[in-house]
Amino acid sequence: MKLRKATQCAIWICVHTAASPDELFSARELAEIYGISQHHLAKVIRTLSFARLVYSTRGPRGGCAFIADPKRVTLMQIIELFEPDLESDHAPVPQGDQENYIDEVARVLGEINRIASATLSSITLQVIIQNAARRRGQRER
Amino acid sequence: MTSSGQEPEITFALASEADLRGVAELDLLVTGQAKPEFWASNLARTVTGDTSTFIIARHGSKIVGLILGTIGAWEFGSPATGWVHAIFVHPDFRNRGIASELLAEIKTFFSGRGINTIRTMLHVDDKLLMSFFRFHGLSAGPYVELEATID
Repeated sequence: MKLRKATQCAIWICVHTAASPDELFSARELAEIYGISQHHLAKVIRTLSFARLVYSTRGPRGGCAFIADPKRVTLMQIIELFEPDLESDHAPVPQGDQENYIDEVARVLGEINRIASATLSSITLQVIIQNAARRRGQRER
Repeated sequence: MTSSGQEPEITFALASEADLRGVAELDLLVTGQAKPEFWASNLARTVTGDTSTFIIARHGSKIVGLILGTIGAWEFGSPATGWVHAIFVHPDFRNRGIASELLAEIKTFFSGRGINTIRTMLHVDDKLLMSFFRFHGLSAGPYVELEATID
């Protein structure tokens, strides 16, 4: 599954800020950590802000902080903010014998979409943060 | 409430025949299907062998949770693995850590028998259960479930 850069960035920003909910992260700091331009980061943060996932302020003491509940925000919710047509069916209109083939391809792609959607809808930011910490602990042992 | 007026604790124990009725009632409440024969045959398996376990959670005398698991080896080509076949918690007793404790109990059962992989299968639409297992570190394994209707 290939997500747009903005979507990936949004997920990274949400996980990063949700892992330290009391901290305000500057745009420059986040842009440097994740290798994105501050211009693109600003657009991502604006969308996350409208969705009430993060709070951001401008200025020298400004920054971005996570304000939602990481136990209730799923990866799918973040992805849908940036890719609302993720599961759209772009199949051509079937004509004659092509109908069976198009239906079968649609069925297989539907299988994949269903599993992907279920997985992304079941993984919250809290799960990502917790499992990352668990794997870090396992590596350090 | 106990006779002293205190809220009873949640206790965990191996299931016995006396629990089958309460298990079927819980099953009916959570899944809509009672399946008493299923629970009885799985209980029998825990009595006759050492590779299955059936643990229940009680609030006082009421059964409010259960977990059922088996160690399986070489099904689907997989080395010995601990399978969780069912885990339920009464809707009125959720968010109290009961399911987490049941999972911890079954992990102890599996690891005590040299098993270091735990596996389960769940309906693709069961987001609640999927979130629960993911929260406890389970992720998609190398096997895929396939099925078809027999014509």
